[in-house]
Amino acid sequence: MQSFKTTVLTSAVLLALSGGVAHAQSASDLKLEIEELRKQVEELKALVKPTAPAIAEANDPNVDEATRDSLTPATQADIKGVRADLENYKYDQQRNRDTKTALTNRGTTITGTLTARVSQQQPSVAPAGTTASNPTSATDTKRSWGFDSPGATLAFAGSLFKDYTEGKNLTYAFSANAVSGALNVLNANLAYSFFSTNAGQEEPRLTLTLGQQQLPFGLEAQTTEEIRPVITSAQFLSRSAAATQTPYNGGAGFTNLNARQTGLILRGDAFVNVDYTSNYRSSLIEYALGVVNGTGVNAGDNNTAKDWIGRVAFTVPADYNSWFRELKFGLSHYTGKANLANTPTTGAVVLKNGDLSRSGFDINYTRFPYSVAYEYAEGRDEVVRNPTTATRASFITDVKKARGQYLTLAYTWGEQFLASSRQQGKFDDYWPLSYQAFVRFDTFDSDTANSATVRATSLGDKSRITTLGLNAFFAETTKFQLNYLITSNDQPISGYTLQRPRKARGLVAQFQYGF
Amino acid sequence: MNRRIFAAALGALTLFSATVTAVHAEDKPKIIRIGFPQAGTGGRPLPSGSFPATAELQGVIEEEFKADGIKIVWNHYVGAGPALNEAYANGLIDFAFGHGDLPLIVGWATGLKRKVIMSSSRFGNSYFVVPASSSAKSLADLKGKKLATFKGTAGQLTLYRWLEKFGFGDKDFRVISLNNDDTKAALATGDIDGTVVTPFDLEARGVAKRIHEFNDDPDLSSPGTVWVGDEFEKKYPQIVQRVVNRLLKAAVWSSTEGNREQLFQYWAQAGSTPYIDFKKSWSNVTDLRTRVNPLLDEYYFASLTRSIAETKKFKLIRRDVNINDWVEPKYLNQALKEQGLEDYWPQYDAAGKIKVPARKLASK
Repeated sequence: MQSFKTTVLTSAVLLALSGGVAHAQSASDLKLEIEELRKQVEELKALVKPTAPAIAEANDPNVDEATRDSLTPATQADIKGVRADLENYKYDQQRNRDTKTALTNRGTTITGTLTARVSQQQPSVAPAGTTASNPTSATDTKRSWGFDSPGATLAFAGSLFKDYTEGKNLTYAFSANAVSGALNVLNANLAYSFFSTNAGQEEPRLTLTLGQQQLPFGLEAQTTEEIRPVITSAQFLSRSAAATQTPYNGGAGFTNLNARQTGLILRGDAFVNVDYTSNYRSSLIEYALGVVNGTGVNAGDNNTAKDWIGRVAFTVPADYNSWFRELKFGLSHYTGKANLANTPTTGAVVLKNGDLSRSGFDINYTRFPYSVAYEYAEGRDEVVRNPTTATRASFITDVKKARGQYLTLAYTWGEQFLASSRQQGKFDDYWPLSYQAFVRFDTFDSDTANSATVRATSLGDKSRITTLGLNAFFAETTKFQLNYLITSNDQPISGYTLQRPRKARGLVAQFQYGF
Repeated sequence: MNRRIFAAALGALTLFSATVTAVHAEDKPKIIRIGFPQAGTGGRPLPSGSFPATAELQGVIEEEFKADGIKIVWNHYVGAGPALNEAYANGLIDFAFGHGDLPLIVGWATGLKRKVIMSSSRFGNSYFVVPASSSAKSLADLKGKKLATFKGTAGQLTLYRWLEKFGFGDKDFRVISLNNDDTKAALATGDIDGTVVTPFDLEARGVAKRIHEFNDDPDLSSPGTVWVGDEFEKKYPQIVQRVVNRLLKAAVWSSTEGNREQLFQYWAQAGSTPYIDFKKSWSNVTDLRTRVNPLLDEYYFASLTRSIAETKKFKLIRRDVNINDWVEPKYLNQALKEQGLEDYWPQYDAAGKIKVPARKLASK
């Protein structure tokens, strides 16, 4: 290498000198040319120079290790060693892919949520139908506390077509919930984005979802268990029309709003505001419009009439640092038909497609560390006045109205809800330990008539639940929830029962963990 | 009241107030929280590519405050500049050891109060890259075609500067928003026609090629910024001074030619830029002080002022902001003076040309 550089230098000098001589016009020109050539020689020398000292520097014990390494050439043996490592790595990757990796046809995210719960209640939970004088059924006695696993959810979501050009992607979602030995499909839908999703955050969004899905009604009906602060849903979503003693029983509510529905729903937003300070995106208007069967989860349709749902929400346009950040007002309306049947001893028939509607208003304010959520919902159902004697030729219907509302106030310590903190670079299994304390006031009146003349069951059917809670988020997908519930029931016309006492207090503790 | 007693009382009160103020100013925090708008590959908490990164990797800030019992907490935000803003807005960091122009400016525009105390880096190479199969020879060949950038990051302004340099505007192309990984995937599949990205890994895989390259062009790049939160700065000015003193020493070490190899090995630990890429992209830098430069000189002010105008032009902010309201150069000036470094780094004029050359160093 050294001899090659010397040869190049010599040749360059000779070439330069010969050129100079050929064009010399006078002694002064010649002198200038020689000066110029001398400069060129010096520059060429400078180019060659580093090689010799570099070798010396590589052996200089006073030079730092990094510099020595940079000046030490790799040998063929070194390269072979690196290649052997690389080949081993490639083999290992291929073998693991063949034998130890779950593969899917399309990019898929698999998640799941499980819960383990212990609850205590005073007075004790009484079996259905039992009375003070006969407080046991054939199988159950009263119980004051117990363990349970209320369910397990498994979810798959992914891309069916990823449009790199426009970002108009086609995605799918599937989830199922195992409760009491039965597997229920929750989400089963595919969604298409009509607007470009890669043109920037400031662009509006519009998706059309076909299949079984959540209803875009209010706040809590669209919230999954993983992010809901309270263990149980609001009463207007979770409590059945027949009031029960247990405030945390869950299950389908009278409004049917927390049940998935099968249909076609368009969701979008407009007038988007982006604060690039922390990439906070909010849209002045969010909207949704859809048509569904109205028969609930895992059920086929039972009439030609379809149910319609619409929602519009307004978010105050504000910067991330504003106190008005994430202040949202929403209005929702659901209208449809339900088959009304009589209930004679034998031969029940559908009398008509009865009207039903659900209307709601909500306010949400989430500005870390504070959070406020208020929701009001009203349901109207056409009901048969005397179902046992009604016939298709002769029946009378009434409108039964129900009303529920809740207010949740929460305060959070820790950074669980800040994306920047959750996504920090860490060596360990880091998660920002956070605590959330909340209080919820929840009332529900399943029949607002409150008159024995209209319906006997409309009296004393109102319940109020106050929930004090603490959530501890101590790992990425695991949280501990502690809820203390105080239930107060109005007195039914037939008086309080074991199943519907005047007051009940319950303590529920649960781990919710996911993957 | 007797005048003498009144004067004595007033004097005592003044003395007491002064003492309280002095004691308050000398208060020390239990913890100093420092944020970087970056993390290493795989989410490792490692910084890279600047002298503040060197300061963390060498542990010099911990060393400075060890005797005081002050804990140093490092936060590395995967969400880059916007995440740094979010953390500061929620009171979670005191210092940023490097912040790009766009998130810095929008933070100011939306009311985040902080003081610029040093520059963290400047210049660098910029590459315009197209798919390997592209027939485009210049940016003009791509007119009307699709370019990608991660909107809302400093990269968006860099792309627009590229377009302007060649006499185009953003309306002459279809600019879409993709994150870094998707941009590289879209280059490989040919779903985009061009972007500004470091090309070495893409070229090694044979999926892309560069059609333009500019080295240390002051029109394309903008300096990084080191800032301290307003409240912290007012409460602990002595601590801020000590942080700046130490950072300046790290800047000297990082710009010393004899440490070039060690420097690249430190920075390569993060994995986001491999050692060989540092070596390549810095090969044209004969004096490390060109890029490793903490000065708040005319170029710093002019460059940020230009970025503010661009940010407004592209409607990324709505309010006017003025760089002069946010810079507090006294800590840097004092550190430069105390350490005899006032002429150590080159000073640049508003156009990015050398105004005052760097001190000549004795050759090895």
